[in-house]
Amino acid sequence: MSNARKLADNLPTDGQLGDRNLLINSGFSISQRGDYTSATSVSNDTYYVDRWKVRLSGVSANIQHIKGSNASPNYPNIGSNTLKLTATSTASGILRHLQQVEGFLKGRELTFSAWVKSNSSDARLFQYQHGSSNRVASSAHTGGGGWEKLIVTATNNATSNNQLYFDAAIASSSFANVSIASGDYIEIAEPQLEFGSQSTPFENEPVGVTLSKCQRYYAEAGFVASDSAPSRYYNTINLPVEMRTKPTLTTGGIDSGSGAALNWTWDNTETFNSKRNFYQGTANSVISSAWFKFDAEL
Amino acid sequence: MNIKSAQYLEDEFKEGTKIAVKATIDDVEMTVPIDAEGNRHWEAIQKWVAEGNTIAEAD
Repeated sequence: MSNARKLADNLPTDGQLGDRNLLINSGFSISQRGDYTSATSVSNDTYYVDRWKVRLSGVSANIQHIKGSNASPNYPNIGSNTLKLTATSTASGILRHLQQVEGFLKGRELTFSAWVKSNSSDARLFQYQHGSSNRVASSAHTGGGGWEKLIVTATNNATSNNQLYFDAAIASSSFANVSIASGDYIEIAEPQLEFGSQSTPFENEPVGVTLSKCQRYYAEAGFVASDSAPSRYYNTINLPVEMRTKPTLTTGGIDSGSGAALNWTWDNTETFNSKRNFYQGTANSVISSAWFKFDAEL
Repeated sequence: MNIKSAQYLEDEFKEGTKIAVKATIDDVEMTVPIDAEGNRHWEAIQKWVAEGNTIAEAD
């Protein structure tokens, strides 16, 4: 095949030539919540590697974040990171890698693609808009245990602002339960979502750019308190980027001292900008250093 | 989401001003901003309230 032919075959049918991938952390380079390089038991409807949520129905599972060791068989881009879900029980159910995308893509034709490795012949990609009865599926993986590129194209509702869901799942083509055995897995690499009907070559993105995108949805920040009247510690955290909405706050850890939870602002006019004020929830408790999680995920 | 408890937090520097909800959701204690459109925890609390539950008043 000539280079001109290859170029023509890989041009997008819609949208720009660069920065096409609408998914975030498709290279699985960011994992702010923890290290999942060893198989880790998962909970339903929970985020692990940034922006990628796990959903389970019927079965239990482990997640594994595999870094750069996906050479065989048939995988074209050796060294990429992958994300693997493995069932740890046998039941009728569904096993899902999911990324939810903000609903600003009204009426656009979108193509979702990924390299998928599975031992299940029910591994598929799905596009879905929340509130719709129509979930569009790709063809199924053969279940042969090799890497196969799956692709699904669909046009979303022209008027709805609802979130879009992009799944790599073990499920039936109508997204119903299927028989899943312990040890069944679905591993994904290089997921990409782009305008138009063409699946184009995967875009590698600088890690710093990916991190900044992820921090719109989730961030962690440290805190060193200082004493102030009336017997409260206070400080300000500058979040790295403006978050999608006002974030939920949880305590990541108290590194020194102890005491009650911190309240997160005394200025209710603040919204989700980068500045955040804190004060101590209980007078005269002794927190002096802690870190926090800011969650504005979909 | 499984909400076990929810209680308003008031701004101690502006008495009577509710600033957040201290909630235990999926066994994790968290501080959820009030009136936060698009925050999934706030929306879950609103659904929980619509089901007949009540956010406790601040201490």
